[in-house]
Amino acid sequence: METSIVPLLVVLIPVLAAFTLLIRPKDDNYRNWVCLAATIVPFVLLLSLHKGAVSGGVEFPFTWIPGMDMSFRVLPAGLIIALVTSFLWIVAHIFAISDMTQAQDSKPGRRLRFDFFSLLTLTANLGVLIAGDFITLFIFFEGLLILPYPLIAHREDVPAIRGANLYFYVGVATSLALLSGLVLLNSYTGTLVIQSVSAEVSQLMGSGVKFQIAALMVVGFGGKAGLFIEHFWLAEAHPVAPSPGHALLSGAMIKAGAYGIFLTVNLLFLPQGDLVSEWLTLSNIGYVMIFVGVVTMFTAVISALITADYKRMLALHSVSQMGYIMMGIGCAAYLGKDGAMGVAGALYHIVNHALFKVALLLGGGAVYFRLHKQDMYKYGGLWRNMPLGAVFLFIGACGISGIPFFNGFASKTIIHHAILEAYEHSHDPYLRFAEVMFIVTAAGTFASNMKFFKLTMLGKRPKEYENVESEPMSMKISLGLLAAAIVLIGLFPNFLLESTIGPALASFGFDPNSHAYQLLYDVKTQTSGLAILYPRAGTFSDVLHNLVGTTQAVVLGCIVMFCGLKYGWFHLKIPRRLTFEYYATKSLKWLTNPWSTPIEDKEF
Amino acid sequence: MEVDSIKPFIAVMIPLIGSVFIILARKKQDLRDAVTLITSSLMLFSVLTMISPVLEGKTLHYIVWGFWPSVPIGFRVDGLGLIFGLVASVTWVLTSFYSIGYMRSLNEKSQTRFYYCFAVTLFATLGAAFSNNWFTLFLFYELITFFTYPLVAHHETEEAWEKGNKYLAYLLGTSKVFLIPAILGTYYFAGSIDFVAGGIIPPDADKTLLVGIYICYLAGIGKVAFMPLHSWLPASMVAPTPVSALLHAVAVVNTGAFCVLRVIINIFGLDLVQVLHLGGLTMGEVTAVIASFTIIVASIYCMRADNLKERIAYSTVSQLSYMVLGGALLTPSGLQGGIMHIAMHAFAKITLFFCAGSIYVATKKTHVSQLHGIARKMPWTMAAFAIATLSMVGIPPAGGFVSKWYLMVGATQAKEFWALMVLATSALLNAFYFVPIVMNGFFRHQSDEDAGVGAPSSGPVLIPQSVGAAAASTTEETALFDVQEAPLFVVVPLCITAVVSLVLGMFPDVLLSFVAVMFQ
Repeated sequence: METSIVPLLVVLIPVLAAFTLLIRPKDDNYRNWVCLAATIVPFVLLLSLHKGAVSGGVEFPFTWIPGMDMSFRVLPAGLIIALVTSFLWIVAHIFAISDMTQAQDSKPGRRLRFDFFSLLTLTANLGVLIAGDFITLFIFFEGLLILPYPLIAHREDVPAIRGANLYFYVGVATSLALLSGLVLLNSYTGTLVIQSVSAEVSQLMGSGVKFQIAALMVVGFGGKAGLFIEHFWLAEAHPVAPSPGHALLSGAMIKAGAYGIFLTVNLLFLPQGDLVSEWLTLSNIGYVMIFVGVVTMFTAVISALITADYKRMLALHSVSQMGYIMMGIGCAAYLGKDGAMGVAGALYHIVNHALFKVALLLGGGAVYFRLHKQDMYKYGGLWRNMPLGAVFLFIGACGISGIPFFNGFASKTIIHHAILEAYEHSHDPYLRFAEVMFIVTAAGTFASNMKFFKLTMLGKRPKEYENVESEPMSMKISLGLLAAAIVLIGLFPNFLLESTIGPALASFGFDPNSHAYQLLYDVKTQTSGLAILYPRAGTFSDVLHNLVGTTQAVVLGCIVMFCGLKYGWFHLKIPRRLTFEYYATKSLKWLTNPWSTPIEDKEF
Repeated sequence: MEVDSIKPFIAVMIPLIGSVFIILARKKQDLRDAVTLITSSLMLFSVLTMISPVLEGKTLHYIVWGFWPSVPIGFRVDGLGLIFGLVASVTWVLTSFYSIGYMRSLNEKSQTRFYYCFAVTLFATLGAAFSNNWFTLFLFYELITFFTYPLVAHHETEEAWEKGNKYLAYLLGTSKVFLIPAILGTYYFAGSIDFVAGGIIPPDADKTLLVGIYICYLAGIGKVAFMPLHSWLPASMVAPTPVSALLHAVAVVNTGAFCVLRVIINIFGLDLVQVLHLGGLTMGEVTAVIASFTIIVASIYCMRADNLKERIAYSTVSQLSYMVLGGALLTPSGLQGGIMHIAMHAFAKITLFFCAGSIYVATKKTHVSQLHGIARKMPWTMAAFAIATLSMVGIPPAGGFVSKWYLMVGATQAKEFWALMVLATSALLNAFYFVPIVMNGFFRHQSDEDAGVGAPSSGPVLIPQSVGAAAASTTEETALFDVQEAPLFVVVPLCITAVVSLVLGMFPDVLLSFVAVMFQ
């Protein structure tokens, strides 16, 4: 473990940059350059930490509350998410250069406010990912609760404020659950340092307390990550933000929640010895998480299929993809020492989802920038106007659908391996069901995103769109960066495994001799032998097997898509009273504005 | 280590002497206000000189008048007293500036009486903070009640008289009926009513009577505003805002919480409170239950209150019980949290009141539902309000988080998990009643306001009603408030208090060191 000031710089630079924005509030050019610098520098700094992180971690200790050890600690698992997070910030800010010139976004002061809070949010987000103890993590997590509010409420109209409020109050409630969990953890173990707390937790007798802590913390982090029941705010809050803000929310910020669940489930409750009962606690938590993931992914994908607003649809897909990640986390915990596949898959999918989701969002955002319509059924044939945009959007859609040679394929394959291993571990029929739901959801994802691509770019072009211009240069650059990342990861699926995800596995307590671990990452040679896309020494059948899973999803997805478009399945409406957000909004309205019922009824 | 020192006496006498000069300078407004400023600064300075001896672990003693050897009138400064004294004197300096801005902008009448009563109340508050026994404390306690009455009834309207009388009735009634018997009972059992670390009541005393005495203390200290004896506090909001800010967010109410902590720590002692039983509950648990009830129910009252000051007042009722809850948990962390919360709450709450006053000065608006879009016109005020809100909800790095953390840790140490849930729920309710004000202030538009909702109770209506939604964005800039920030004398103090509450959150070890010397 080496000590370095770089982790502090990573979180400090965006804050300082945010305040330098205030020097010349009216100068757009100045602001764009500062934002660009303030997002690129942390990315580069994080890259420079990669070597130290892989070989044991980089630490920066400090004090705040007396008696609590606090530090930033860069470890591979957090680092890779932090890297992709700051990459997204770069891309989003490049995109924002032209996107934020739209009339409703560029009112006096609004652009400045957006950039200011976006940079502060970057600090909060990176702080969560490189925190060395839960109290530091919590502080930045609270920052992640407050600071994005102006990004969501940016347009200051009723839906924006409504979505932002929903976001905020769900966030407050869940963060209090998290705080309660942390207080319990602290009083039972006496420490909150992430690396050493699991040793203390494993000394705790009785699984009741552990389940309490796990439940409180998972609920606490799940609010941000959009777990089932806590997910409803996402579809309300994300789509009302301007495109770059939506990209940051859907691509990066919900990952902070997922990272927290990672720490909770896979690290905190890691048993130290070989005691069967301890591993049983972990595996019970994992079993629950798998099904939380299944419910999350399936319900969200169904909602996404019948949504016409492309932003809302993509927000729902974020929820659905979080379900995949939860499933990976759950499998890892369920399998205990043999669960390397689950953690690797979940980590990998966090990275991939960030890339393809933002590519889709910003690809849609470029269309929205020209047409100012969010209903995808009103688009059509736009590839003639924006051919490059069509290509980028297609790459994003392929990524999320898990098509070979695009990034989603690798991570989905690994998670699929994990759930299959979990099934073979116990032959529990419910896990078989989970695996089937995995494929069904993948099919739904394919159908939904390809439908979006088809409706937007292909087909007949309405007459009024004939003179629509192509997207501006900054959008081309930012989308190009994303598409390049998607394709590169897709072509070299083992690169990330070898460089970062493999070393990250070391801190999760897996048995290095287990089959899954050895396949994923050979500690001695530092290479990955997993045959995802390319066969390795005699593993051609594995690749074939991977392709079969994808083919099932694609075929099923095609059927759903074409039947759906033909028979109008996608225009199905769920009654409002059957949705969570209806009741959430209603009760929130009462809680925050109890005296003014008449006006609120009119608005909401 | 007990040390004789005249410092506490000097500190307490400064505001009393200053009040005489305020009367003398009544003809010249500027001179009178300058006297207030000088007095408050001198008092702050003299309190500051006591920091270093107290941090070295000393307790400062001074006997003023030993007319009755076992119950002398005298002062004793320990960590708890000094935190309270410091908070009161720092906030008094800021409030003096603020009052000048506020009272002059609104052309309030009887300003000399106002400043005079203010100074005497501060004299009494500091005396209460530094009292060495219950007799001295009781004298100052009653003095506070008497001298805040003219401040509460300042406007001399019918409403002011009515609410002032209610204020007096509650505070005097409880102290006469319950507090005097409790103090006499303590003297009967212990032979003294001094504050001593670890308590003075002998453990072999009659347990049933002790329970009675303890309950009398809880009921008698009306200033802590336990429900259902709280309604004097919302009633006192009829006073001018500086009064509400300093007295009903810091001085008076903290005296209540301070007295309860004194009873738990220095009269009964933590061990005895844990032993005394009523039914199946220890006295610590009884106190915690009453405090928790107050915390939750007052928060619910808050959510229904549309008048901004009333909402803040109910929030004070709720937050006072945080401090008592911390003491009642009887664990080190709980006590630390409770004592720290005196300071954390004081700075956050005084900021909120200052902001309410600032909004009133600038716009004559008093109701929460009228404040949509207010931050566009008063960004500094609302930014301070936002910071104070963070502290109230307990979001780092604002101060409220640190004390809440200690309280929560204290609750788990005491194995009172329901108290943990109470604290978490209360923080959520805090968010529900304060955060909408901030968010609506920054992000809503004036046109969102409904004509029929939340009619103002006083002041002219500045806003043309029923502005169409479509025209909103254009008319908003010109037709709606023609207001700007309140004067600097008002805005600067509230920014300072907001910053202080942030700084206290970032460097909590300053406060913790005071608490630490108490338990050495």
